[in-house]
Amino acid sequence: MLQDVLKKALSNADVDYMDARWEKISHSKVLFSGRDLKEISQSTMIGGHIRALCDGATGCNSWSDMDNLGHALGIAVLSAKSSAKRKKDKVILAPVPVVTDNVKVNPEIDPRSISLEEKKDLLKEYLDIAINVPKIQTVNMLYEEHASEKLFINTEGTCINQEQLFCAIYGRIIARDNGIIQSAAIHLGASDNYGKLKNRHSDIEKKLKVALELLTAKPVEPGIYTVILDPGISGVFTHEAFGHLSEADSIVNNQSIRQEMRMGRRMGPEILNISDEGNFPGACGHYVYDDEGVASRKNLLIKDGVLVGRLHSRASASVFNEPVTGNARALDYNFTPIVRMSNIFVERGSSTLEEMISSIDKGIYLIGHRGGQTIGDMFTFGAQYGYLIEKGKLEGMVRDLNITGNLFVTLQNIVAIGSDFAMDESGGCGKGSVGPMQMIWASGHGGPHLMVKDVVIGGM
Amino acid sequence: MEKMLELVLKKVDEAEILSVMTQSSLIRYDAGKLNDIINRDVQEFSLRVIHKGRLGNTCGNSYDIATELVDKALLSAKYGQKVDFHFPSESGDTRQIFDAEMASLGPEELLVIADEIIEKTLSLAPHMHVNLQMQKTVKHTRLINSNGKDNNYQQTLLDISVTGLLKGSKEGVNRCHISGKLSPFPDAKIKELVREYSLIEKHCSVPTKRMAVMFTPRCIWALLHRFKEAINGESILKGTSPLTKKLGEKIFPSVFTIIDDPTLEYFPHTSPIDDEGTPTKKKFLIEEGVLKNFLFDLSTGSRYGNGSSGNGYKRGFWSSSIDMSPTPNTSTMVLLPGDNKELISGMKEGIIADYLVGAHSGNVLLGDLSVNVGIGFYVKNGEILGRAMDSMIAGNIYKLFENIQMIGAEPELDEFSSSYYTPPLLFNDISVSGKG
Repeated sequence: MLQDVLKKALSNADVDYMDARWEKISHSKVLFSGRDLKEISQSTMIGGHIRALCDGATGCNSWSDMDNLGHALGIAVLSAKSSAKRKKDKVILAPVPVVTDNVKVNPEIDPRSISLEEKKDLLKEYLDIAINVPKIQTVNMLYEEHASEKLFINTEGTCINQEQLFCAIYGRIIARDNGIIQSAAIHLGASDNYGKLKNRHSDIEKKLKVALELLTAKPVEPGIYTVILDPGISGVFTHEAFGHLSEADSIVNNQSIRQEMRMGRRMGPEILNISDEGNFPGACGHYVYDDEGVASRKNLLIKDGVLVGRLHSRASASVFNEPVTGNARALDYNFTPIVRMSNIFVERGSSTLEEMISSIDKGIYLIGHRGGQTIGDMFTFGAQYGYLIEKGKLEGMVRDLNITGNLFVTLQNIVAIGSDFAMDESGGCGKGSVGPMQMIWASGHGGPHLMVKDVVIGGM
Repeated sequence: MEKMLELVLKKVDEAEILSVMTQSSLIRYDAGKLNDIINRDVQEFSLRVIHKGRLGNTCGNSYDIATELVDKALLSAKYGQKVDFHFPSESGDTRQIFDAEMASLGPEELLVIADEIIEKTLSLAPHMHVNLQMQKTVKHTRLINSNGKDNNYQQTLLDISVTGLLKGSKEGVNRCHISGKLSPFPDAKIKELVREYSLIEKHCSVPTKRMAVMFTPRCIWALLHRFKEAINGESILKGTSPLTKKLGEKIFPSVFTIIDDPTLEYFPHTSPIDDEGTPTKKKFLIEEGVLKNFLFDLSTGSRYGNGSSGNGYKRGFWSSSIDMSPTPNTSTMVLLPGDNKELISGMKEGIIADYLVGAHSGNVLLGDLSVNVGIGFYVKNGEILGRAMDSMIAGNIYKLFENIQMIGAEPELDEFSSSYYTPPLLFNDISVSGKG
């Protein structure tokens, strides 16, 4: 058995600690670009990753040929030993319980049980809703499915078999009239349940309407506004502006950001609570164990407006002397785990959307996210569209909405938090600041509606 | 590999297998401190088939499951794109891209190289938060197809990037050295880095007005990426490119010549064939301002009528990977240098843009550019005064290029994609907005 082969190899290695992952990843993809079926494919990749810890230094190696296990292991150990001589800050892994477990996914409808043809036909149905409509230039529609079976073992005795599953539909409806091009993005599912992708025709119709309405929407007048963020955009805001700074590994050697992100610091108003929750069935970033074999859990990051938690790997937890959180994750066997969010969100508040709108004299209701970027504490991201709010009432649609700001100032400017809650059906995140860029699909975000004052809205 | 080809040819008309074996070592230093060493020794392959005029594809990395993968390719071809091309048979020319000395470097030797760079940098700037990232890659590529092709090539690459991190930020000033042949990290680059790091401490607010803008080779890709999208065979066929009907026309001032060059020795994107087995060749994209060529892979080339231009790569904006379908892309895009060694001294008022935020957004295809200057400098009367804060540059590259004032003499490879080899460019009269 594979498990025994790996166990034996690990136990014979001359190291202080070692872990290994071996996984099989199946990827399915159906892509329509307009009416053309551009791609319909499935692939299967198999490979592993080894981490060796010797004298406080880590060496890692990814490999794909199990017959070469001995060699692969040797490279990891050699790397660890070479760097141990130079390592000033020794790596210490915070202690965690030894676990033996076998985790199976159990979705309502398993995408692996559905044929590729059926997936193609569903995509085509959604495509047909919009593609023949006047003023619609083109529609793109993509189905993505990732299924993995992963074995994790370490020299402490942990042994976990874990399945992970993810399926989603992403699309874009592009409308064009008199030289103006506008588009609406579609995000469906992003969970292990294929059922969330079915019978979504009315959602596509809604997006079609948005794309057409955007053609006549007015570009926003740049300026400073009170804004309401819908759950889609409040999730991205929480993820981009705050979440990345909670990832301990990327700030461990950055004293100035560490100072800004010190525990106990007031980050926002008392109504503000932010959590990251890996063990959140049905959410996009759901997993039971991370890639160090640590159980995922709910981690409170901001409580009553004060910074109380941070996301960790075993190594970063010991540097900060804070609890391990189960957030060490790797995209696949090609990568070594880094600290990543699982599902991040602002906790429910007590305001209704109507109350927020009626309290605003001049503002904008922002809906749906359209990409974002952060550099340290500065962030910038786009909204798909929005509505002007004047004297407490929603007015016409506006477009070209870009928000920029400073994280610490903007969190302080949150004035109301909705009593609603929704996880966004997209997720996904790229992080490369502590190694090679790893896009990850299983990173979720969401939240309630948020009302924020003094937000700088720029045009395009 | 041959066995799988044999197996699949019993069931399909044509087939192609691209196999890539990658061995790499990544070493990182954060704030001058060594992090872990991350190695990779991975084989991957893609299988493409043409059956009854339709294209199918799959990928994997284990020939043990060849039968399963062949079935997946067949299923893919059942519904796949209708195509009107054949997998190419001619071989590519040999390119100079492998250095045996580099290939033999182990972790210890790599760490010695890294230590030396850090020491040199810290001796000039003791308080710098130095991040260093160094990756050595040895790649073995083989492409075989049912039309008799069997191309094999090996490539080495050492990519070293040194960053002086700004306080309170995850970004900083950066220099990199990327080559397939072992050569020392240039001292001149370390000196430049240290000088920029000392200048960036002082913050300058930038007024909103039209002024000169110099783009460094580290961010010119943001301009050229827009041009590249517009000459992509896909956008040409769809008619969505503003350049669709402009072949042979002058679209830039005659000082600009831009070449797609897959022959440059030891460059990361130099190769004898593209990822579909078509031999690559050097070609003008812009010759003295005149648009000369578009980029085609097998699929777009056959639909356009000219065939592939040798530009079918499994490489997108963010990543390259074996499981991507080939799309038109350049090898190395070279903007020929001018003879201006000194660009800054003549600037009356302007900014130097070094790192742009949001370079991938906006209407890229039309050439629109609206970016924040993440890292940049404010210049007055030929002197760098400090870091340009909160400034934005907006425009359209086809108009912007009209305002060219000087083309620098020394080209550099960008770090983001390592595929743009350009000198710095100085433009006049660009719309800049700031808070000053």
